[in-house]
Amino acid sequence: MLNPVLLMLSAFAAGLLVSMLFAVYAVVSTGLEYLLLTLLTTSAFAAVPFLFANVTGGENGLPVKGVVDISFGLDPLVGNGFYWLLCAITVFWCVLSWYLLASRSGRVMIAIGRNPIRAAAMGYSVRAYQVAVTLYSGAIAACGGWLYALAHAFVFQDLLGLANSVNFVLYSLVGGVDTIVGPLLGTAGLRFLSEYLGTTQSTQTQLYIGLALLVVVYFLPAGVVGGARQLWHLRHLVRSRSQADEPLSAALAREAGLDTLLGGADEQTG
Amino acid sequence: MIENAVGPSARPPWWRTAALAVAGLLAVAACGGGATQSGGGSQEANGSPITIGVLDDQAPLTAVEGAEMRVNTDLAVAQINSSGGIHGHKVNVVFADPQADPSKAVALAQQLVQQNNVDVLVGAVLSSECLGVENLVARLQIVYVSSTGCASEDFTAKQCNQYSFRLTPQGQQVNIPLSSYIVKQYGTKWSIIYPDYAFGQSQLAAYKVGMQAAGGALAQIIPIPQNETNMTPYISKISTDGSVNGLINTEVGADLVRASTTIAQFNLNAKLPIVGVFGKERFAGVYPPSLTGDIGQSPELSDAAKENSFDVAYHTAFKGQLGKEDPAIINTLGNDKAVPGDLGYEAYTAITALKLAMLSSNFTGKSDTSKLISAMSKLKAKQSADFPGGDFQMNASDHQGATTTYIAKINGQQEDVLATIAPDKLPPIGTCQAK
Repeated sequence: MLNPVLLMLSAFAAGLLVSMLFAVYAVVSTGLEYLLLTLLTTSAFAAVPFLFANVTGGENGLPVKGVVDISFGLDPLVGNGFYWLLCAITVFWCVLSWYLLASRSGRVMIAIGRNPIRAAAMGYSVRAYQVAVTLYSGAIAACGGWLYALAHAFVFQDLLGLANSVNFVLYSLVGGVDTIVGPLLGTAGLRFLSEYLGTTQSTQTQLYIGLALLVVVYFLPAGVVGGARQLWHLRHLVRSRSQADEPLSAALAREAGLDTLLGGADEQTG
Repeated sequence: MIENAVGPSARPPWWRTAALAVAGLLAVAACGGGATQSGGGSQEANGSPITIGVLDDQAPLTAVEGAEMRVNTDLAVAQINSSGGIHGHKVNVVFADPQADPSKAVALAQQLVQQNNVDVLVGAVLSSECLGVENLVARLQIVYVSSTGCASEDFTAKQCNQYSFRLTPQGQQVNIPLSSYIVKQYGTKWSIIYPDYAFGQSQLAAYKVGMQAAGGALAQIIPIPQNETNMTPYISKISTDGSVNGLINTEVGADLVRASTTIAQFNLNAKLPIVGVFGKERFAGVYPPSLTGDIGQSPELSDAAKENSFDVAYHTAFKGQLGKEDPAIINTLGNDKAVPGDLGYEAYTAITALKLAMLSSNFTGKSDTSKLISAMSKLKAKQSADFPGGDFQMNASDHQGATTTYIAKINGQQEDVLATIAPDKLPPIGTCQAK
């Protein structure tokens, strides 16, 4: 029988190993080149199970044996214990990510994301931070893969490849990429929509999901959380304007972050 | 400065975001609802209903299979309910669409069992979906019957368990008799074209086994990349100098149409017997002219066999049910040209087999699962309204069914039966023991 801790550590090690390759891409390339390298590598990884079909099950997938034993005795099909474990792990990663983003290093990472040239000019090691962020996200992805295998007791080749990878990007975009909770909300919403439509519509599930994505992209370019945040700022501005007797246009021009919503002034980044 | 860009003033307090997320999740959860239910109409069945959860893929990849599954499941359930249900218990169906995504299939199967409280699971089209659900039902301890699709041999040859059943012959059960026939009729050396990915490779392996068992051989093996638009370089390789006795074509979907068209352009149909492609339902009810001369094997012919009253009644009822379905489904199947074919037959008999087993075991719900397993394991039926295509018998050891199958040749829009194979003449698929 596999030791659950050993299995968890192995999953993390495998995830980190793969993300090291992507970290190399982050160092040697930028922009479109980086995008293409990661997409092509993802496509290549999707074919790996076919090369070793006897071990991986190939297109048929692979059952996970003794899943309760390797889930620390928590059966995903019985009771809520396993889901509390999922909840605790999710909260752990959220809190850690919040802490890191709030730290000095986190602010540097955000600055690099917005303007790497300026961050480098200020003396920060852009490459080192990019490698660190890639490895950190690789660890979260590895954790997700480990928990998926425990939850479903079966792993599929379809989980690899572009389709699933694009899904994760979509979930984040819909929820809002500038926040920790945005991707969580996007994932919950889109997964729910997909499964809900799958049990209510006869043939048009994918059409409705596509329309929902279009609506979000058109009307909430900053994602659901980003849009809600912008509305909150707008409400705050309207209230402060009424108290200060200041024209709304002047208040908006002052306020950074509302340019997307109103199509107005450039962002004030200092 | 950077501090201005990323400082606290740029982000709202964390609790506001968290509260928004919780509110959003609650709103999403509040919108949650049930699944599509259909149960046909019945005034006679008044016991507590028996609910069947059906994983019916409606993705483009599985559009035909999904459409056939929907129509034939609805038809079989309507017939059960109109004749009084299962000892007075009406049968309800809860459809769920995994969209040809194995992980969704497993998640929906779990949802159907644990939230919709279905008594039996049916369906899923892709092999990976079926194998994932098969693995799940052993833990959920609920009967699962595959429907349309689920072609992987592993389902009953390697991964079998006491809860899972498949009715239609697959893999070696089909390839060995077909190979025997074509080797005996046409010769021992064959060329094969196959889609060069997992499905095609598994077909290649199955035909190698079939040919070996029949004393023949694959003398020429031609892999074709998936979604290849120019088939000429591959089709032109097929030997017509007498070094092979025929061609096995295992292409599927759009690749099949392109390959068949190119085969016709090279006039290979006139030079070689071509084996593999069969069933009008795969072509919206109308065979393209390029398929004339092809030989295939199926438990159900595309058009009703006129001398078989059960089959005529089944095809008539199928047409009647078709008119009640979603227009998109009707269109997918070819409107007035639609036929059940072997894809629809698999779905229809999955439900009728369950009906027979439920009736004989006095099944009333999930608590009677062990009785239903016992009845399904021993199920044997003669050609009838429940199995209009021919006889049926279940192998109790691996839960793989065997049906009467027909080897037939496409002749324009007709299918000429060349040979009929009884269920007990089909070879076993493996040695798996369903425990």
